[in-house]
Amino acid sequence: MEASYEQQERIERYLTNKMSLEERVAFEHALQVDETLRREVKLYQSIQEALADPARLELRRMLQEITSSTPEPCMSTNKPGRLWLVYALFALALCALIWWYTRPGETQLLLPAQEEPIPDLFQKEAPNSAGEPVVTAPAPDLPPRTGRPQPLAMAESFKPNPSMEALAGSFTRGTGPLLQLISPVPNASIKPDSGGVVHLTWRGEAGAGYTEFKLHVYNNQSPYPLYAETLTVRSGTLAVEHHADLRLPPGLYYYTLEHTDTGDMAFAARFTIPKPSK
Amino acid sequence: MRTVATETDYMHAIASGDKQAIGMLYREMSPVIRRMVAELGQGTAADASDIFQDAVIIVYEKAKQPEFELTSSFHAFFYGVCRNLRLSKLKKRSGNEACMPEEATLGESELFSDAAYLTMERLKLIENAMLKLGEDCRRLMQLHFLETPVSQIAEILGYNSEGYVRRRKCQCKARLIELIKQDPAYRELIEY
Repeated sequence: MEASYEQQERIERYLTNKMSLEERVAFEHALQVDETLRREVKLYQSIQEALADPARLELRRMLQEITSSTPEPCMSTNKPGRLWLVYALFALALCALIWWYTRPGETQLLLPAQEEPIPDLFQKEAPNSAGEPVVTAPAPDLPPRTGRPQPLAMAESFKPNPSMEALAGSFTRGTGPLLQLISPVPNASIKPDSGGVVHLTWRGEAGAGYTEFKLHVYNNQSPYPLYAETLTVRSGTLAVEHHADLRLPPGLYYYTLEHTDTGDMAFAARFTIPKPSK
Repeated sequence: MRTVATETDYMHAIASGDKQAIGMLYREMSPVIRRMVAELGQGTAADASDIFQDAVIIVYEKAKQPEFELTSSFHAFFYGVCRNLRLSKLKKRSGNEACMPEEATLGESELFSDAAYLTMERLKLIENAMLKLGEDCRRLMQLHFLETPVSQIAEILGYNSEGYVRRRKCQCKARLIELIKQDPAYRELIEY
């Protein structure tokens, strides 16, 4: 039953302590026996509480406006009207990649095929076939390194990266998994062998209709991948498998798997290379 | 374009209602929230949008507490709030934890008690109804519930007489209560 106007006034006077003692006692007695009245009082209390901070209501209004007017981020939609942004970003990434590969005096950014010697991703300089120094790993926003990482850098190398942390542990969008990854397990701690080489195996099962994924491995600081590879779904199956032997110093790492065609993130996770035990 | 330089800037931006910065945060976090919602199941794009809104309100409330200190990165904290909101919603929907996703058993789900979550939802119900009112009624209701004297309301809103303020107040209050009671969540949140 709706509260009458008089009833509403009484409730308000009760909640704002404007009743006489006599009236208050009578009202509290009515509250004990009348469930409808109790609900109405609770409703008024909620309104009072919600309107106690006008800035909060204004923030709510602003949030409704932002979420209804901000275009959907490109990675979460494939609507044709928003594809231009995907294409622009792809073109930008492609240009950056071409520039990196064709820089004078420097060789391949990403790791070579497995038959070649295992690269040290953090070694600043390594001889190439002509005996000239080459950069074997990108570290554009890392401090200059000389030799092996220093103790201070060691602590820094385990510091979580906020952007990657937000992605790690999340996988698939939409209704079904694009890739159910079995190995390496997310958050795994992977020990290098006696030679300092880390043996990584990506093995998973892709959803039907997906044929290719891009694998990227990042450290905790650089936005550029240390390692990239295209993973192809084995013909006639849903199986995806890839193995890599990498020389990675102790630290926190992330890897992402993206569907090649759409750029949709299929999986993102973290792993650590522990500090060597003394 | 303006950029948010540091983690604490986002806290400040939310506390001060900086629309541009909050919009930027939405663009940054929206894909991540969507993935999380999809991962936890039974979610839609609208759910992800609701979670973002509620998480910003929670951060706003946290920012008002002098003792609150951000101990992790802002993005990690914000993601944690969003995830807990989703888990709380799923818990409420399923009615018991046995139906929750496996990951929901993590300690982070302790962030919101059932009572805190219900209070949050109840305030949202009122706020949403308030935002459906016209500007005039909304301002009148705000002033009225802040116990502003009728004479002052008349002055602020430019009404001719106090009698008109009282009549208008009754109309607006009736409309507000009607909107609240029309919401499907009303019975659950107020009449439980």
